Amino acid sequence: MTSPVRFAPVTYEDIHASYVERLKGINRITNAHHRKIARNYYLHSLLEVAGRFPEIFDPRLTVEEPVYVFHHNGAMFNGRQAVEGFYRAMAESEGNVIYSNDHHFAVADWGFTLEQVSHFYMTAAEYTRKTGETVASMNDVYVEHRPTMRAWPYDMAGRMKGETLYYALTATYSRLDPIHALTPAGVKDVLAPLIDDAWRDFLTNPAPEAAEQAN
Amino acid sequence: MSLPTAQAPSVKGILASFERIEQDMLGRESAFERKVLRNYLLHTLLAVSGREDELFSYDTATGNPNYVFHDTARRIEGRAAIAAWHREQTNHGKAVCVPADHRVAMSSWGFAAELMAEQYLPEGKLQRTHAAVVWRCDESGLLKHLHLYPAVKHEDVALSSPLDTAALAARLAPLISRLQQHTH
Repeated sequence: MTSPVRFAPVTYEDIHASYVERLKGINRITNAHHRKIARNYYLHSLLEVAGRFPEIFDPRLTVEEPVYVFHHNGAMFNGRQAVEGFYRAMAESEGNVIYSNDHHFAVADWGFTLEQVSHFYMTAAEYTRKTGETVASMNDVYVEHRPTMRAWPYDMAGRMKGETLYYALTATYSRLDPIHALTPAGVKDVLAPLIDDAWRDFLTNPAPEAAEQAN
Repeated sequence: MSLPTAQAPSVKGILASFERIEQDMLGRESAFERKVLRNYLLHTLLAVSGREDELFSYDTATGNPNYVFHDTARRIEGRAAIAAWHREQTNHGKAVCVPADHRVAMSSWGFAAELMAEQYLPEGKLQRTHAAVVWRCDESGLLKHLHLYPAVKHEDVALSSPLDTAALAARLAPLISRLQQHTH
């Protein structure tokens, strides 16, 4: 089931550069509420991929009881406890090493949509568990390539209300040599400076509603 | 297992769903966004009305658009194949799929929307499915790629009578005419 798609292995620097590129697009958004939503998502994505999910539940980023709906498999995580459980399971399985490209982002008053191709890194054991395929070496690294779409709602303070996800039901896979493995710790380290900057940006650029109250 | 029974299908309600998208289009300041939504709405209305032979008659798409269904990975390439697919839907009584609860976000590449797809099926069945649609355009707002992401779960509803598709097409015709003449 390994894929005929040509996937050039990415490095930690590629992941870093991908976020820097996305931030350039966000900074071109002129509508202040839309920019707040986009900055929130940018920080959320960094925290998720870096495995720092507890920070996602900061009340300035996320409503108290978010609801996650995964329309591709019918799963629903209703409320903070359930959503935290989802993230914890993802981190424990080291499923948070995700690179993405071909981003098509759009933002509106109610939230944003994003279609992209997500590249989920996994061990040979996880690949076998997911696909039933045998592997030549348990040391190899596998990457699942899957088109994904999301539409996340936000409140007027720019806080995320939940995640609504639609994943393509078919995926392709690439096998990489172990030298191309990316670890959660490595991703966490390379993204840490961006997370610091993103937090600072997010907190110093209040949503229009909050700015009006401050004046 | 019996299906939950809904009211009779409402041609007026279906028209209202499409008119809400028209109102969204008319309220937008950006000419590009108006054009994109006009093209999407006109394309959808022609398909729903069983007028697939006119699907590419009104400057809504590039020369070689495609559809990708991400639940099955099916790809439909080109105008002729897309029109043939819609004709097949019409012939099987499946052409009427209404984008209800439509929530749109737009950008320079087109738009994406989350919606409740209400598909009217033969023998008075209605299938309601959460779905996302991505409508990618060229710089003129012409369709290049349509990506569909239907949810795995859907709700089946038994209607008290089948939808009168001819009556619906007649009711949608004035909206189609307005969109054909729309100058952005």
